[in-house]
Amino acid sequence: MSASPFSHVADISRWLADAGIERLELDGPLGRLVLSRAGASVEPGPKVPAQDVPETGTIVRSPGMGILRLTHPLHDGALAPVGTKVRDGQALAVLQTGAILTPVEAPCDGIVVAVHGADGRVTGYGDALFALSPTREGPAA
Amino acid sequence: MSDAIDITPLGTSALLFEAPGETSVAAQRRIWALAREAQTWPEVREAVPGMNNLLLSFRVVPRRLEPLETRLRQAWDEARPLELSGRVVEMPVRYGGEGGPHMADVVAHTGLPIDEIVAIHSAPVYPVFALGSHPGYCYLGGMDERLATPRRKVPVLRLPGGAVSIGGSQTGVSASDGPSGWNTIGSTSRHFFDVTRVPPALLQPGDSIVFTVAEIVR
Amino acid sequence: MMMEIRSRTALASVQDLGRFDAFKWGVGTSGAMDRMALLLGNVLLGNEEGAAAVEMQVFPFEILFETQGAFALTGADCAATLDGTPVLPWSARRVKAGQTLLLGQARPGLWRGARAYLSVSGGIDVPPVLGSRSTQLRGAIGGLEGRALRMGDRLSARPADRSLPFGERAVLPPALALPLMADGVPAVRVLPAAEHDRFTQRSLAEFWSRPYRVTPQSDRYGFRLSGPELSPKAPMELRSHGIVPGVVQVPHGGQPIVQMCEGQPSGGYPKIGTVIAADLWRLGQAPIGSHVRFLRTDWDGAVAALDEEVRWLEDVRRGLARLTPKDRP
Repeated sequence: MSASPFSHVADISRWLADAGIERLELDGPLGRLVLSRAGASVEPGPKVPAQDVPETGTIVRSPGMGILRLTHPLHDGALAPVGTKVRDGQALAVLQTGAILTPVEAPCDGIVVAVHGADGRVTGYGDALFALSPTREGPAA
Repeated sequence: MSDAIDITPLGTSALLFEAPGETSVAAQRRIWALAREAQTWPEVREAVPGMNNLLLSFRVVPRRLEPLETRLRQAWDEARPLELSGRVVEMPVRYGGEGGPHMADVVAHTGLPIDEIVAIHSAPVYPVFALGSHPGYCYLGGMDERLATPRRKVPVLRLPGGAVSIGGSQTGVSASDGPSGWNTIGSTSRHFFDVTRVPPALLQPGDSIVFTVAEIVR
Repeated sequence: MMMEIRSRTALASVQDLGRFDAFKWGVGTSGAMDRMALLLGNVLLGNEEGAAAVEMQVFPFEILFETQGAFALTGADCAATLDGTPVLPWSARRVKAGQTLLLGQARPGLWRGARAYLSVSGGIDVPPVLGSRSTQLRGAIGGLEGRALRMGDRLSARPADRSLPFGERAVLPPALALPLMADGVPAVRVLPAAEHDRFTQRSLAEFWSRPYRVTPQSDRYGFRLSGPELSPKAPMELRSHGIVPGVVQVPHGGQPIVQMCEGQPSGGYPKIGTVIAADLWRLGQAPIGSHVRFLRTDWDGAVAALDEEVRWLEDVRRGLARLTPKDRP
């Protein structure tokens, strides 16, 4: 399990400043974290509508914070567009923080039925990124 | 040959020092002395003699080259010829034939018949000036100018170990297979290099080689 | 960890960052053609920087992991799969006993590359020879029995303190993070060498402005390039002198040859320039048939290039450390 987003606030502020991002609001499990040029603050979770995410399928959530890349920087096409058959552990996308790319891994074998994450968008811990329709595959041949 | 010292970088990996004047044993002895001195400098990883020249590989890439260049010039001025007394090693050579694929080119360039080339080549006691080119390879001084043949326009991709060859005014003998731009006139079966030995090279600067004629293949 | 080579392979070998301190015996550095890729594979795994890895140059390539462990795959993007599941380029991940890693042809794309590197936790376990685990074919030194890898060869890993201390992560390829192009062609910076000014003005103008093609006669010993002929003002016959990887020699034919990591430690052809150490990995990844441009630099520029790489590597290390929770066991 990744650490909560609050444990690296100073680093994240610096990184955001480097990336030219003025303000970032993250709704996390502990409330809303706001990072801006003025500093960091934590507010109680607001009554905002939950992400418009269908209840069907297995939701794949962001394992951390970063810029979502649906396409690996070396590739032309997305790693896992809708319809892609994926295996447990396969990278569906990557989160970029500086030079590091963290894989967003499929939690099970399945087929990608929806892509919720926006390419190039700053993504927070827990954001819904993909919906998978799990398949019951045998062990790899 | 240049009248002046030449010091130039090889990228950021090394510095190359060329001694002035014609290639000579006397200059080589001063190169050996310069190598010994430069080897003690903190920037220098290895000080490796070539034919009247010296390569200094960097342990640490200096921010500025000028101070090192100055120090090198001064050290050369102060370098006294170093006597390295060594062994004389005999190498039996099969001249010509399959082991000497470029003998015909040397004949054509020098205008000398094969017997005379072999006689001239096998006459001297050759001092080992330096190691290089590949593991254990010996660069030898003192080749007769009459045998000088330019390096090949297109280097040969693979020559077997033991090749005895001529490149420009130099002669040398290889220890293992590999590419070469020299003219190979014969081959020896002597082994040069063994990583399990310390030092791994059979011959060192200061040793000498005598080529004996095992056979002439026409 | 134990693995088996399952390809009828040519030109794959165990390499590390190179063999130094043996130049005096005519032994060159050898080592990875793309040192950055090897180094980054080790950084991702938490290995010491110079841990030995497998360098692969011909594809497809297949490796069976007999026991579990962790590996990193860097260098050319070869659409690698682990038991059929795609592996991210320039990434580290765990592997289970019995899984097979398969690398296909290097993919065309933003950056192609010609060589791939497989690092493992702890590094490949072969005995160091003259201070390094790099393989030098000439002289049969180092690596696995001083030779290229063969089908059926089994390699083991040295013990590692921790497996995947930074988790499963990937890194931005250096070709994208530190791009260097000239007129749309991959470029390398070159410091003029001793005989630079002894070439004709026209030759120099061509050398610094025209692309040169990497011919099929290019390998770990040297890259034979094809392009505008380089002519000396007068014929030069030099005496033998030490050279290093990166030296651009010009034999009588006028076509340049760049010494690469298994090149001879000495030579006598005229030198027009030397590819700077910081850019050797770029050239080492240039595929056969691709083109390269030479960009003239000076000492300060070459040192600045090294500094830039050191800084970027520090960014990578810091980035990995920052992402790793302190409570990870």
